[in-house]
This record gives sequence, C-alpha cells and structure tokens, in this order.
Amino acid sequence: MPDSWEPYISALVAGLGVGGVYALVAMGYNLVFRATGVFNLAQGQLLSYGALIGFTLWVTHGTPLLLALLAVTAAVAAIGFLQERITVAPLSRAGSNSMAWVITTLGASVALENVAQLVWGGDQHPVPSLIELDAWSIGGATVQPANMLILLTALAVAAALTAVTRYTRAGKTWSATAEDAEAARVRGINTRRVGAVSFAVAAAISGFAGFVVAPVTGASFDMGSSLTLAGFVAIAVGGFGSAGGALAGGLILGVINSEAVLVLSAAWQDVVTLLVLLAILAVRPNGLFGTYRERVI
Amino acid sequence: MTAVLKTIAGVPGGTAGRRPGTAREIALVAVFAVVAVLPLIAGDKFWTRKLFVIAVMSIVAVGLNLVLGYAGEYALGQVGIFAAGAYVTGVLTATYGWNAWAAMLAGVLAAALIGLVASVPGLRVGGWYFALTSLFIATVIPQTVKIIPKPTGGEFGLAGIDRPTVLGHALSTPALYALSLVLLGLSLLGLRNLTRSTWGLAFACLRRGDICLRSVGVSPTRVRLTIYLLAAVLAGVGGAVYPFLDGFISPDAFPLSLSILIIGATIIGGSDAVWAPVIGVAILQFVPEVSDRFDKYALLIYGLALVLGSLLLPRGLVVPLRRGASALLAAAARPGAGTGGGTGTGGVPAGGTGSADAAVARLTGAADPGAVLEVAGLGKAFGGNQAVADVSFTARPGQITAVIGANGCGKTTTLNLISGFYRADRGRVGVGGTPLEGRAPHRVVRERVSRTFQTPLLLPDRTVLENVMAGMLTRTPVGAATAILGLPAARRARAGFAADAADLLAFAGLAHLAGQEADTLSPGRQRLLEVARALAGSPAVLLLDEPAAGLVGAEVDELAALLRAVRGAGVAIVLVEHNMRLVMGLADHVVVLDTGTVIATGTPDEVRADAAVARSYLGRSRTEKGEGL
Repeated sequence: MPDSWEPYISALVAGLGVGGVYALVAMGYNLVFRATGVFNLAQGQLLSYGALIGFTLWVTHGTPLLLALLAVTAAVAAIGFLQERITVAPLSRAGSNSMAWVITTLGASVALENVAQLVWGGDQHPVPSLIELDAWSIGGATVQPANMLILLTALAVAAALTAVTRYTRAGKTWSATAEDAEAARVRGINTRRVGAVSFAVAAAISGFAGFVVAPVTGASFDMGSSLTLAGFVAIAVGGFGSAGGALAGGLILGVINSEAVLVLSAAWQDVVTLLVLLAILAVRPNGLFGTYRERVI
Repeated sequence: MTAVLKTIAGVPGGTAGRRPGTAREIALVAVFAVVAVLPLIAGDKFWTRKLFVIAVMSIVAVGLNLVLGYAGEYALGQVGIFAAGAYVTGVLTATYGWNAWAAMLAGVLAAALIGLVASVPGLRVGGWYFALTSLFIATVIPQTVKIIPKPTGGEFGLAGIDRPTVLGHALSTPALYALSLVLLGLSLLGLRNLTRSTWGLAFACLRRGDICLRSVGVSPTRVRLTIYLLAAVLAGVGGAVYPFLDGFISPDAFPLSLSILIIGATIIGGSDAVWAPVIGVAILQFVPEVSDRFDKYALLIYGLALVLGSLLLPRGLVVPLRRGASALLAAAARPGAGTGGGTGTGGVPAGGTGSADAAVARLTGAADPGAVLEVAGLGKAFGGNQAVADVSFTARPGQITAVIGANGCGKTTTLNLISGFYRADRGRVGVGGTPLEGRAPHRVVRERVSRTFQTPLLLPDRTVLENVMAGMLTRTPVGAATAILGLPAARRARAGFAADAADLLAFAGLAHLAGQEADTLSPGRQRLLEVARALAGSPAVLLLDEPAAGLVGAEVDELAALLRAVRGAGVAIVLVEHNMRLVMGLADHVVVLDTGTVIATGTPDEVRADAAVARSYLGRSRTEKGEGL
C-alpha cells in the first residue's frame, strides 16, 4: 500500500490526456484503413502540422481562436488530401495487393517532418491553454483542464465517427470499399474518391487534434514520429475496425505509459509501449475489441 | 571492363543452372579492389570514414534486401538488430575489457539471437502489421540502453571502445575500412550463392505468398526463420565493426532516420540483385553531401527517395543499370564480332532440351498402385453456411476422377479440405491408408498430393523453367549453409532441378517457352505450366481446380492429351471442372456435388442418365437436349 494514492491518480489523469492523443491518431489510422486498406504512417506528422499551424495562426498572428481552429483543420485536411494523391493514389494502378504504401507513406512522414523543421525550426514552441480555467483537484490529485479537453475531444471524435459509420450513407460506402474495393467499384462507388476523402477527413481530425494537444505537448516538428508508433500500438491494443476500439486502446496505453513512467522511470516509456504491443500480439492479435480480420486468401 | 558490365547486366538466379563465369567473379573483386584503394591513395581521412560508413550500412541493407526484396517480407527492424550488435560488441570491449575480436563475434551472435526473438511477431502476424511492429522494435532497442546505464553508458553514450589488434598493433582507420569491405564482399558472395541456389526459388514463392510456398511443399515458417536469421547476422556483422570507427556509440547513433536510410537504399537500389542496395546506400550517403547543408535536407531526401523510388522505379535502379550495361556490351560486341557469347536477353535454359519420355518414366517410377485417395464424410461450415456437408469419394491411381456440380456446390472447398488449406469440421482424408486430415498444406504436399489453383499461383517474373523447378523444392532440401557456401551439392541440386524441369516442359509441350517469364504466357499456357509444376514433385495424387477455365480451342485438347498421359503414368487425378465436354471425354469416374453433398457417382454415362443430376444442372424441366452433359 503506497503512502498516498495522489501521484498515481495524477498520473492516471495525465495518462488519460496523453492517451487521448494516441486515440486521436489511432482513429485517424482506423478511418483511412477502413476505407482504403492503407495504414497512413504520416498520420502523426499531420497532427504535428495541426499544432504548428495553430501556433503560427493563434500565437504568432493572434487569429481569433475559433477561426484559427477552422483554418488549421482545413489546412491539414488539404495536406492529407495531397498526400493521398501523391503517395497512395498512384499505387492503386500497380495492383491492389501491393504493400508499397508502407514505403511511400513512411517516406511522406519523414519528408513532412523535415519540411516542418525547415519552416518552424527545431525548437519546441509553447502554446498557451485554449481555455482559461484553473486546474482543479480531486482527492489531492491535480487535474489539468488541458488534459481534460484532449480527452473530451477524443470522446467527441469517437462518438461522431461511430455515428457516421453506423448511420450515414458515406459511412456505409466506406465500409463497403474496405470490405472489397472491387465489388464496391462494380456497384458504382467511386473508390478513388473514397480514398482521397478518407485521407482528408482523417487529416482534418489530426489537424484539429494537434491544435488541442499543443498546450500540453508544445508544438514541435518532431512530435509526430513517436505518435505514429504509439497510435499504432493503441490500435493494436484496441483492435482494428472501430473508433471505439481505437479510443479504448489509446486511453489504456496512455494510462499504462503514464503509470510506468511514475513507477519505473522516463527511460522505460518506449520499452513499456513495446512490451504492451508484444503482449497483445501474443494474447489477442486482433486486439481487445477488434472486429477486423485480415483475409487469409 | 566488359566483365564489370557483364556482372551488372547479368541476371543472378535468372537463368537456371548457368555456371557463373569466372570473369564476372574477377570483375567483382576488381571493382572491390579499386574502391578499396581509392581513399587510401588519396590519403583522405574524410573519404575513408565516409566509405567505411557506406560499407557498414551496405552490409545491413544487403540483409534487408534479402528479406524485403527477395522474399517480400516487411521485416524493417534491421537497424535495431544493428544497434544490438554494436552495443554488445562495444560494452564487452569497453566495459568488460574483452578482446575486441571475441567481442565482435559475441556481438554477431547476440544480434542473431535478438533478430530471431524480434522476428517472432512476423510468424504470428503478417504484412504491414509486422512492418510496423518491426519498425517499432528497431526504434526501441537503442532506447533500452537507457534502462541499464551501468554497463552501457546510458543516454550519454559509451566511450573507450578500443580497436581490435593484429600482432599487437591496433587497426588503423584504413585497415578498419578494409575489414568492412572484406565483410561486405563475403556477405555479397554468400547471398549471391544463396539466391542462385534452390533457395532463391523458395524466396520467390514466399514473395508470391504463403499459399504458393506451401503448394510446393515448403514450410513458410522455415523459410522465414532462415531469412530473418541471415538478415540479423548481417546486421550484427555491420554492428560489430561499427563502434570501432570512433570508439564511441550512443543511442542517438541509431535513430529512426537510419532505418529510413536503409529501407530507402533497398528500395531505390532494387530487389533483383544482391549488390543493388550498395548502390542505394552510396547514393543516399552521397546525394546529401552535394548540398552543403546535409543535416537539414537529409530526411527530405530519404523521404523523397522512398516515395519516388517506389512509384517510378518499383524494381529499383538495377533495371535501368542492367539495360545500360547490356546496351554498352552489345555496342562493344558488334565491332569485335566473334569471341563474346553475347549477354542473352531472357536466358536460355542450360539443361538443354528435355525429354518427355524421361518425365513420364519418372512419374511412372514414382507411381504407387496402393496410393488410393479416400475421402469420407467430409464436412465444413463457414459461419452458418454449410459449404461442404457430406462428401465421400475414392480416387484411384491411373484414373481421372471428376468432381462436378453447379457453382457454390462445394467443389473447391472440397479440394481445399483435401489439400489442407481448410481444416475440416469432420470426416477423413487419406492416401494409401496414411491419414491427411489436420495436416498443414505443405505436409500434405510432402505426402505427394499436389494441386493447382483456380487462379494459377505462378511466379510471374520468373522463367517458365524456374516455375517448374519451384515445384521440386519439396524433393531435395538443400541446407542454407550449403547453399551460402556455394558447395557442389547446392549446385548439383539446382542443375538436377533444371534438367528434370526441362523434361517436364517437354512433356507439357512448353519446352520452347522455357526461358520466357511466366506472365508473358497466355492464360491457357499458364494453366499448363501450373500443371507441370504440380507434377514436378512426382505426385501420387494430382488435384486440379478448373484447369480448363479460360482455355480456348486447341488448348483444351492439349490439356486433355496431357492429363491422359499423366493418367497413363499411374497418377490419381481429381479434376474439378465446368467444361463438360472435357470431363465426359476424360473421366473414368464422376462425382456430382449439390449443396455440399454427393448426389451421384458413376461412370460418365451413368451420371449422364441420372435424373437427380439433370435436375441439379438443368433445373426442374429437362427441356434442353443436355448439351452440357
């Protein structure tokens, strides 16, 4: 029995905030993956562009907050759209079975990161809190409003995505394309457009998320690469196929990471993430709440 | 010089059984020697260091090329294993005072071990999932030293890694560079031998997919573990020499960008030659050097290399380089016109023309009158769909047993159950009394039950001859070490494959196409080729899944003649087919399926007269003249 639960509860709350970031990246992966069968390895970098463009607009130029949020979302959506056109769309001609997108989206991720470094420099830019609220305290543990805002954003995005995939025509179109692109084409679905739109929407979510995350993490060019891998582990834990799984996986990973850093040390963070991944691979390769199954033949 | 060009223009593993010319070997060594001596002549420290790094990274990239390029496995963790090799070597030398040579050996062994452990997820999940997992492992391994800062120096790095000594003298930087070149040369030589042996065929099958490899009777797990281990050893070799350049390593020396460099080098180099990644590494190391702000643009350049390399040069720089070298050779050969044998475009099979009689003799010799395929009470459901409810039949050697029925009646499912690709819910399958049910597909093939697929699973960019040779992999396993060392046994096995495959091609009437790539063949010829490959393992039972689909005119007659000859050799043939003229003309025995159940069996005439069959095929009223039946 520890002397006080307070540090553990603080770590739990902070972990939910970080987990919310992982979940947002994971939901972006999931959205694109469901629609196109591609795992966009530049998803984390798209989030960093949200943070960096948000910093420029809101902090440097003093754009009103809501306008800045809208502009960031639109700008990153455009980047995502272009990325799909350049790095993924040309591959569909090469045959649907090709895994070359692993390489091209990986290339896009490092190129985007390098461009961000050239534009915004190597420093971490501090971003003030988006909402003016004092930290509150639960049982002696501190709760930062910025962390709660991330968590709320993740919950809201998960709810919205679930609603869209379940109840709208667009969502069903995406599911159909993911299930069998050839069959979807035969039934008159424009699968090329589905690919580009899913990239743009996922990028919009990442851009928005980047802005919301920036007050906690700061805005820096290199915040994407660790998120790329953490988001992947989140989706591996939660399971492919649903926004809810991505959300749960992200939060679980965030809390485990946060507590591990508290109990062990900061050096353990990546190692613990890897151990979580290997454990889930050994026990439940489909993830805790996975609905997606890779086809055998 | 022409020898160098020939080396570039050559198609390693592309033509079967060809004796590699010694001129090429000498040429390779000559290139090596020139590159090795260049910085020494110049006496330039900077370039010596740069070339050392290129040589080391090349060793790592050559390993990745084996996995990613040859076998199509997305095992991207090479840099993590490289880091492990470097750290084990460094820690043993600097912290524990080991002899540097012994520490290097230990580093390689540790890297091999870690590489095997890190590859375990690849046996469980495939494709992109493994790509991400392995990439993640690559970035985490260097971070683990922060957890154990005592022997490793932690995040601030490990200093004092003293160079190995020879006769009491520590190696100079040029000597270290020469060592790295020797190691690179040996790696290339070993991999060249391996990919030109019968293992090269197994890699090509794995790249086509697990099903392809299993259908030729080879365990994908065995091939995977072999290549993961070899790639890990190469990464470990690179890691074992790397720390001695500066005598210092830190976790920051193994960033994600290094993985990107190695992957990018493999992509832009190309996957068809063992030396291709060396070119890729050299380009990616030199190009940023041209601009004076190296660090600022390096990642952008690597990233663009990945994107553009994949999109514009999917088979890498090897292809245009080869073309250029061939063109130069052709130009050089024209005025001389005499001694040079030419490069050969697709390659002429070395086995010469095969003998159809020899192929028949081998099939007959392997035939076993007791090898009766017995299927009893087979059942399989997918969710609520009972694909196969109750299927029993017997297929005898020297007979053609046709399985017919409307679409969706369970014919292909039955074949998949017999050949082990599906696991039956109930029922028994056996050949000559040996039970087959529950066996993995490649083990079923080893019991000499081979098959073809509805969509031929050929190696599209390999020659027709090599496609047939792949079917022999189950027959004569060659040890990986034997193949790497290029021992006569490995060469004999490949030459034997080539000769027997040439016989089978003559038997199948495809001899004139032996040197062509399989995807240049018409669909009909591709089917004949797949039948020839299925015969390559001298099967007792041959399962054919709609071999006549897509065949036109005379091709159907060619197929019928081939199947008659195979039957004559004493093989039990199970023929799933829609072409009723072919079935009724060929079959000794017909099994009719409807909704997963056998509704009739008998000779073609008996089945034709069966009322239930007519109902199943033609609907309720039998108004048509039974054209199909």
